[in-house]
Amino acid sequence: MIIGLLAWAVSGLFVFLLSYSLHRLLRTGRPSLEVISFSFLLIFTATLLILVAGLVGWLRPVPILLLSIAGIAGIFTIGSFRVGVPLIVGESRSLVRAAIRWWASLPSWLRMITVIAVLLSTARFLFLVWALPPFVWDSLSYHLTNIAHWIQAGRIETFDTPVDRIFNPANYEVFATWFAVFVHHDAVIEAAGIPPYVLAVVAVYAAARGIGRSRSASVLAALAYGSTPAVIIAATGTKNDIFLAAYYLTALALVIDLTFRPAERTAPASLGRLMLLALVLLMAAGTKTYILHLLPGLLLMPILWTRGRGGRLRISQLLVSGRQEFRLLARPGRILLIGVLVSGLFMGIFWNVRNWVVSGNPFYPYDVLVAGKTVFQGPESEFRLSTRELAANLQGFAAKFGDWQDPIRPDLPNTTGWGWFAYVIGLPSLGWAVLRRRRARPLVLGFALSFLLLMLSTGPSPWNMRFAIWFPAVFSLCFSELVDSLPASLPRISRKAFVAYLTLMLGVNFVATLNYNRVSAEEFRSMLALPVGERHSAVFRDNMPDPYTLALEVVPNDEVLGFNVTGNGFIYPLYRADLSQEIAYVRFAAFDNCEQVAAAMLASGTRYLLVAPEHTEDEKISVMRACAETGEVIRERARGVYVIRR
Amino acid sequence: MTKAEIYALAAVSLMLGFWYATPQLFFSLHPLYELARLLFPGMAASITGNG
Repeated sequence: MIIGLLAWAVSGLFVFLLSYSLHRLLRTGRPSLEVISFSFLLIFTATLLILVAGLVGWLRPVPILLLSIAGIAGIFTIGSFRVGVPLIVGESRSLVRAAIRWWASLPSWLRMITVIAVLLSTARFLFLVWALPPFVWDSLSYHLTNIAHWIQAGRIETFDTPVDRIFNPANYEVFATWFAVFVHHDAVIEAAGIPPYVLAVVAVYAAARGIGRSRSASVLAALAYGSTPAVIIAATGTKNDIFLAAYYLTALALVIDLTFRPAERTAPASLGRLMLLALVLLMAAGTKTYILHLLPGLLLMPILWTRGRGGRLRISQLLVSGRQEFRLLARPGRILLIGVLVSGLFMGIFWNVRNWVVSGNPFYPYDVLVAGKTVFQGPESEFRLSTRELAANLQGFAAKFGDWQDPIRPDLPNTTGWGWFAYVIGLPSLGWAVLRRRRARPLVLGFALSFLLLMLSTGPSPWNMRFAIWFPAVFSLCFSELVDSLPASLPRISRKAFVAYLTLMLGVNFVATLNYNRVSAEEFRSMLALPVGERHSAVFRDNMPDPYTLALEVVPNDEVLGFNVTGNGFIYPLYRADLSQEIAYVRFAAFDNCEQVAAAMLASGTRYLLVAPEHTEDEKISVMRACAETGEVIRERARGVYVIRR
Repeated sequence: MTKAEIYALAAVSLMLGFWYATPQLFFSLHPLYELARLLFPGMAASITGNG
């Protein structure tokens, strides 16, 4: 454990220093963009470190420690990387002074709301990460299953499993591995979603500043977006939707800045912004492929904003300026930047190239159908580009609009999850901004196009609004336009009423997420009664069938635990919280007899087999029950847990 | 922004608030109820039967 903690600290230091070095090379020329640049680079470099370690088979604390030590030595000695401690201290002092000046420029009421919001959010995040294990469905079937296997194996690899979605692009899983590999435990794995949450919120601030909003209005926009229930819940939901939202909004902030502040002679920063935009989009592509569907919306905005005002000229100016900046760099700097870009490209395309090589389908396990014709074949049908899909999804969206069907919960069943601010204040703000602010129209149209293309391709389901948790930012940005347009002569009582109303909406948004609107007091108590290290998914009764809990009670930790589940079944809970349980997928058919099932179990290296309702085909559960009734070959050790007779 | 716009926006916002509150107000405040039940055991039974 001590070695693990040391490795964690040293790798954290390496990630910080590497991000800092890259951040200094990729200057953006605007303070709010500098913040999102550094925040993004922390995620980027941590993901790169774990990906490299995982692919070479060094996914263990000591090898990562050695890699990190070598990396730190490089940073303190090699050319363009080099950052000395005095430089870091000096720049940190300047940063703190600038932050204090920025903070002091905000009105006192806004500072108070911000402090309260940050403190409450932090308390909520820390409590839920500490108190509860992961429990969201997709996390337990494939997101965390990937992480658990990689940590057990010491490498990033594919493995035998019925859940084909382990082949999905997995940059989120790689990043989240950093939160578990050093202590070989999932105690804080939910915290992996907090950095992208912060990035998304700050990106909204930067985007608002980029379209010319005041600091106060931009802070309000960021607070409003940060209070969106779907976004807060996703932050600790152990899934990748918050990462996509963060990358989309970061790209938006950069696109806005490149549009309205194209190329400056005095402090050119085109290279930094262009490189960052490329890296953000590449990271997104390696996280979830549907960023491709959102891109046209992002591109539409600058086209509309610069229409008739030399849009093409600006793009060429940016590229020329960027190339000039690149040429002015010393050779080591140029090599470093090329290396960073190649790394980003690698992280963007690795998963799809791997899938293409392994299965012939870069989007495996998904079928890709365009206008009804199969372009790539896979076991799961999800990528369909068709107007029929669009119509069905828009109908589904209309049914979810207003969040009247269900509480806002992880996976957003039958809801949009946008919350009180978006519907009560955001919608009227958007309507007003579209009618009265010409600059807002391209923004709204861009968001709408991204949303429509998403609806064109995602399969209709009660849960597909989790792919659009970036969308409520458009309400926040329109709201910032409205705030800056409030007359200075507005009576004091009206201002106070406005602030109180806004605070109420943000407050109710936050309150709605306290327990994911799902976890009861009894469930909390059952977890809090256990030591932190024993709060694992299998004992969290929220949605866990009994066999999972029982399996880990009756199967010795040093034995292999076999399982048979469907393509959407839970696997992760079987690893235990300390990822110490070896598991094996046992293939058998519903028409197999008991001897054949036993042979399959032994072939998989196990005497034990778990089957569970809703996770295993009913016919296979019947086979196991029948075998246990005869009891000659296999007996039932506990409900849903079977063992071969000795 | 004119006074008329401000009044119109306020009116629309309030109407949307009443619309959204049914039934989201209950859903949104339920977590507070569970928090109270967590802090004060035996205070009241679970409403959702999830306890």
